[in-house]
Amino acid sequence: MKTVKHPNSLKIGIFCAFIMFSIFIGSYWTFYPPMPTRVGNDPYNVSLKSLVDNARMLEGQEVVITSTARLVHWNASADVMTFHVHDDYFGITVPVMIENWTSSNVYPVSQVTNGSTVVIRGTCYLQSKGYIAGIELHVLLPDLVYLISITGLVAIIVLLFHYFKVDFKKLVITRKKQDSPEGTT
Amino acid sequence: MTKEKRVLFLIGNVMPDFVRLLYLISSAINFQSFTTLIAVPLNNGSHSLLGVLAYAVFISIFFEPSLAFKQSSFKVIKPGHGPAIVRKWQAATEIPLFLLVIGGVAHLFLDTFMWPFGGGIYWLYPLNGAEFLWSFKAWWPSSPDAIIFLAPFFVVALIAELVMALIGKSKARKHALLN
Repeated sequence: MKTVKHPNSLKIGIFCAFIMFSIFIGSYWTFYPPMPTRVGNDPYNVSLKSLVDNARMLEGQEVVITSTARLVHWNASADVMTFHVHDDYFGITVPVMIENWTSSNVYPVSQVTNGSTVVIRGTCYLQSKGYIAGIELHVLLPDLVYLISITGLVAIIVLLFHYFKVDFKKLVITRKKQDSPEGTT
Repeated sequence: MTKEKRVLFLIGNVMPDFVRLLYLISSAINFQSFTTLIAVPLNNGSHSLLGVLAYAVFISIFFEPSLAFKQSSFKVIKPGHGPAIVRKWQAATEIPLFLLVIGGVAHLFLDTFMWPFGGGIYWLYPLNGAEFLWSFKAWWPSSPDAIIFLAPFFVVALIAELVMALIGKSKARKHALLN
C-alpha cells in the first residue's frame, strides 16, 4: 500500500517541537532560575524565587520585581505604604515598604489594593532587615490589557472571516471569489 | 498590498499574544500550576524571533494555497518593474509565511518599547541573560501609558486603511463607468 506523506507534517512537527521546547525550558527556568545579571547600572530584574535564592548576592542592590500585592496597609500619619508580594506557586512571601509614599509615587493609595499586580523597584534588604525598601511602584492593569487584546483578537477574526472563506472540513482557508474587479472593497 | 495580505500581516502582528488566552483560562479557573508551567513559558517563547518563526510556519499552513500568485491591487510600482529590491519585496509579500513573520517581528518591535519588567522581550530566546533583554524603556508594561503611546500607531493604520479603501472604491467606479 502506498503511503502519502503530508507536505505540512514537517511544519506541524517544527511547531510542536517548539511548543514542547518552550514548556520544557520555561519550566526549567522556573525551578532553577538563572543567576541574576544586569547591564550597567540597570536594576536586577528578578523573580521572587530568584530574589529569595540569591538574597545574599542581591543584598543592598537595586532590584525590580513583578508580583501580586497582599496585606496592603497605608499608614497615613507616617506616610508609609507596606504590603507583601507573593509567589503562590512556591509559597514565597516578601515584605515591601515604601516610605514617603505621597511624594514619591503618582499612584493614589486606592489603586494599590489586595490582589493588584505591581512592579516594584527597590533596594533589597532581605538579609539585614527582611524587606524590600521600595523606591518606585507601578500598578499594572492586566484586566484592561486582556480586554484590549481580546477586542483586537475579535477584530482579526472578523476580518479573517470577511476576507477569507474558511473550510473547516479541510482546515484550509481559501480566498473568496471576487465578482468585482481588483481593488474594490 | 491586498486586503488579504494586510489581514495576514495583522494575524502575524497578534500571533505572539495568542497564547495569552491561556492566561485568561488559567486565571478564570485559578490554576496556578498551569500559569507557571505552561502559560508563562509559552508566552516567553512566542515573544522571540524563534517563536515568531515557529508560529508563522504553523499558521501559514492554512493560507498557502490561497495567496500564491495573487497580484497586488494597490500598486505603487507594477509587478516586475522598478528596482531589484522592490521586485524582491513584491515577490516576498506573495508568501504568507513572510507576511506572518514581519507581522510578528513588528509585534516584538513594539513590545521592545516597554520597560523590560514584568517579563521583557528576549529577541534571541533561549538566550536569557540581562544583556539579551533589550528595551527602549519608553513605557511600563500593561499600563495606560502604553495605550496612549500606541494610539498614534493605531490612528495612522486606520487612516491608511481608509485611504486605500477610498482609492479602491474610486477605481471600481471608474471601471464600472468604462464598462
